[in-house]
Amino acid sequence: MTSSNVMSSFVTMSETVFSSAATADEVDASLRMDEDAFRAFYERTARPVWAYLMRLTGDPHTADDLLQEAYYRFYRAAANHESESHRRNSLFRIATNLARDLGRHKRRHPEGEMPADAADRHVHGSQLENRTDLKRAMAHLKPEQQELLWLAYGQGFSHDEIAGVIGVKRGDVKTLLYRTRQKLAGLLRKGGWTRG
Amino acid sequence: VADTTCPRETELLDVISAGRTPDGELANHLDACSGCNDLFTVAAAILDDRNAAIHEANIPPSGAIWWRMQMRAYYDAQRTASRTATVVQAVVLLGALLVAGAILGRQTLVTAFTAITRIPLAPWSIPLAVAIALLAIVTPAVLWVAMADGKAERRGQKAEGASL
Repeated sequence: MTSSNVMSSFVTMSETVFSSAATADEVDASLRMDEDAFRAFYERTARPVWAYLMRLTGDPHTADDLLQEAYYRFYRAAANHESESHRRNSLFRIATNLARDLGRHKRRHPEGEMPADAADRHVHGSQLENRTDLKRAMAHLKPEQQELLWLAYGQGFSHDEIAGVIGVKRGDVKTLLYRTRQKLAGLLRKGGWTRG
Repeated sequence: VADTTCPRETELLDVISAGRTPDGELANHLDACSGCNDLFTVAAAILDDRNAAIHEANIPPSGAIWWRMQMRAYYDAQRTASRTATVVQAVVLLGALLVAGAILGRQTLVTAFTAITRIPLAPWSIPLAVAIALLAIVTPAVLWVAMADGKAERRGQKAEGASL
């Protein structure tokens, strides 16, 4: 079964970090979420959300599919968000839940492993080695731990925001983050990771 | 497990986020502080990975995404409307069958009811009671479904208008 088949069966079964260039006007307009606002919001957030989904799923094609599903569910929810960051967090929460649902679906319906370099298209040399190291090390973590680290260090989310996105108590984020970071650092050192 | 964080973590994260390598006094601190060392290893690896992933992301244009969403919303609304119509039809058919059964079997039902409760009933009282009960239950349900249906349809029309 190909990844797109997995995605389509998954979908039938069952949803940027602020660009520093975004002006206050753009942000105000995006709170209204008509076509222009949606498109501006998408332009600001799609790449970071895709990167997040790619790391959680390990497959660019699955990340492509989940990205579209996440925006559709976000749009259909038509929720009133009090701020742009609230809206962004809501999108990341949807993306997180989609990746978790897909992970559960894959565990219930196991299939062949993805090729090791599937997530590393267009990347070569030491950068590829480092990404493969990180991928291997991250594979030893639980999905929730991967989400935690990525949101904290990849997206720069605050502890409050992380708690909202992954559904844990705010007070637990600091401890979880510390322990998970320690574990991943050990795994990376063991794998010989060095900054390229 | 101690989970105290070092006060220099924010400073270190700023350096990593800027794509720089800690130098001078911060580099010395990194060698001495295991927490900051872990933070540097993990945050640098994740940031490098994220930057590479963002660079390689081949995301569809926002216009295409918007159009696909409108089309999908339209077809979803149509599917919802068709499903609710089927539910209403099934409920009405079931109600009609119940009333018909009560009419046809009214004599037997009245006899059985009188035998059990010893309350005399007129022959048409049971079909009438069934019809009234069905009206009381089904009417609000059908109204609710019709309203939900209308809402879905309006959403679909809006989506269709936007996609044209």
